[in-house]
Amino acid sequence: MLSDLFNGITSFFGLIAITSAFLGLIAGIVIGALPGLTATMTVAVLTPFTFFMETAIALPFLLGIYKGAIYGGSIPAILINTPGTNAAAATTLDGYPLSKQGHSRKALEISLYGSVIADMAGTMVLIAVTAPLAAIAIKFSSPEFAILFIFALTMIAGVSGRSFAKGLIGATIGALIGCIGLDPMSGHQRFTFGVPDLTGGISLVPVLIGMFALSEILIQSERRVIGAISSVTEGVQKHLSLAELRANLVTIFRSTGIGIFLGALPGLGAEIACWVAYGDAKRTSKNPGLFGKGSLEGVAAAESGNNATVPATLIPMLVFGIPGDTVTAVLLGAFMAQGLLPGPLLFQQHSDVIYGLFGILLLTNVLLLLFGLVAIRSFRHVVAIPQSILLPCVTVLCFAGAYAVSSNLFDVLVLLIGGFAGYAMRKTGVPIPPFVIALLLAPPLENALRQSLLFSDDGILIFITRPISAAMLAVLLVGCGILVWRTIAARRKGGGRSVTPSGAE
Amino acid sequence: MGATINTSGHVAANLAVSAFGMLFGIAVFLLVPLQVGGEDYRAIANVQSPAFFPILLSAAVIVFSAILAFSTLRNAGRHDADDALHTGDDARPIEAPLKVVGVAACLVLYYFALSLIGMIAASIILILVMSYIMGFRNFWIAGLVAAVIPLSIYFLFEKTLYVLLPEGRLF
Repeated sequence: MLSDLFNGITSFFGLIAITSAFLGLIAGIVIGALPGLTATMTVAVLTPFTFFMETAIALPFLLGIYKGAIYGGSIPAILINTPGTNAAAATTLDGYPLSKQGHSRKALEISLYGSVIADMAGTMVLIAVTAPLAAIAIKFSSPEFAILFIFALTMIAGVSGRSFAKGLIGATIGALIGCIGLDPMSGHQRFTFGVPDLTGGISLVPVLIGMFALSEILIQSERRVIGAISSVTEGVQKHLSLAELRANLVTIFRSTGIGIFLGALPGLGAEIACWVAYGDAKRTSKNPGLFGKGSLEGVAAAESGNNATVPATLIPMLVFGIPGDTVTAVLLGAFMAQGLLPGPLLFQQHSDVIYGLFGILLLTNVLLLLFGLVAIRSFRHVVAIPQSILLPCVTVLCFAGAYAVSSNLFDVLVLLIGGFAGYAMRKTGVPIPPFVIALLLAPPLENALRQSLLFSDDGILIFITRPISAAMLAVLLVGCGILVWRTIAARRKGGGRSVTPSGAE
Repeated sequence: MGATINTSGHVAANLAVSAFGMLFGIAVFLLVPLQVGGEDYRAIANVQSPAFFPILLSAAVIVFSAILAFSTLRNAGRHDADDALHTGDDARPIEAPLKVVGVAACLVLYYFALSLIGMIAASIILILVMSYIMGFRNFWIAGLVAAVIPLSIYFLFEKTLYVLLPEGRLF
């Protein structure tokens, strides 16, 4: 493995790749720091830019954006009590109180150090486990992949929102949309309605940009006053001391472990990891009473938890071709556009590229630390940009990006429809991640399922007679049982108290 | 005294989702003979048929929608700690519905304007109009941004990345 890493780094590394990663990092931090622009939105909007770049430029750029955006979300969370990305929601609880107390610099620095340490540890886990996992995954056949895809979609549907049923509805509709185009086995057209643009299916990137970016713009426009950001407090600019950092190292490492574990599971991304890490840190802290009132430990836990997921979500994506969260769903599309099909064969066919990327991931952690330390003083200017002028500019970028996919206005129409559909889904509580990930996984799932049944002598029993798929099926059924039980338990916890339909007291 | 939770809105949203899911599933099911290579519903028994997977999924979405409708109606009126609309959710009531309609109209008109007057002109108008709708009142800065951003995107896409942007039929 070390020799592969060395070969990958030397063959893939170049000044251009490093520069590309650095530019992506800066773009990600700046955009991630802007409230209203999520990490998914950032990556989705900028992905079309990379279609016309070489792999050595495109992928480091996108990975830099991803890392930067997750960290960047902590900046407004600390300075103005508004998370720049959903993954920084837990950071507001202690980051903003610290800022009000005049310790914004300390909060920003502990966030930076926690993020870098967590990301570095997560990257090392990624490097250590992906190749061995890929070696196991290469033994998977169609039945195993079919069950794996169904398992991933079911888990994503179950944990993405408050309703398991809504998640499943979103996932199945997404998979149905994924059926539009040509049947993979026979080549027959399906649901094209005679429209030539539909013969190739629905392009993923415009859907992603629409559902995440345009829907967010519509959500933001609901507010009576847009961009009313409270003033940024300057505060006393004391640095974080070495003793303070040392005192939080245990929390950082424990939260990192939580983030890596959750990030590697499909459907659970940084948005969930930050809360779990924060809750765990509060529970195990010697000073739990400080949480919520300005605890450096709280900021460290939230930021370590969410940044550790960044490399971890790449594990299922690279090994199985299953995106760990919505951002990796976009990254998966970008990888495919570069001719790299994530899955077990990726390590056999493109090991130099993959290990080169691992090297880039390690390097961007160092760049993040250096850039963050220098730029901390400037962050308050970034968060002050009013959303009412920012969001129209983002709209233009969205439309340009969607058009750039294949220079076709049809993709822009898909973007528009995706935006309205995403908005409707958010207003009715239907989670978007199951829909888009199902759209992405529908073709390989269909292939795996149909091939399994076609070549099976036992019909549907093939999923039980093969040991690995039987084991995964058992895990799937247990997982479904837990999700259903959780729903029922939550209803019972509500106490069954009756309220009037209008919710009157 | 307890928290006010919009259970009626929650029930309506769930039933709307359920109804949409069922209609969608039924529509796909009915469209199979017309849109999938002359196949019919017997294709569910034939794995090789292009209609196999769509029929399976349409049945699944109908079943999941029915489950959602059933569980919603069964628990309607009860305080549901997990599903009720909470403050901060996207499902919160809309504070400024006219603003949303205005922004939505901007997006639709922008799409049509792209092919009519081209990306640069359409984007300048969009930024000016949309920022006004969203409450930005510094017209000098809005004008500057409206001029700079589309031109920057034009130079980035067409001159740097060699990606053509929509040209208008009029100019």
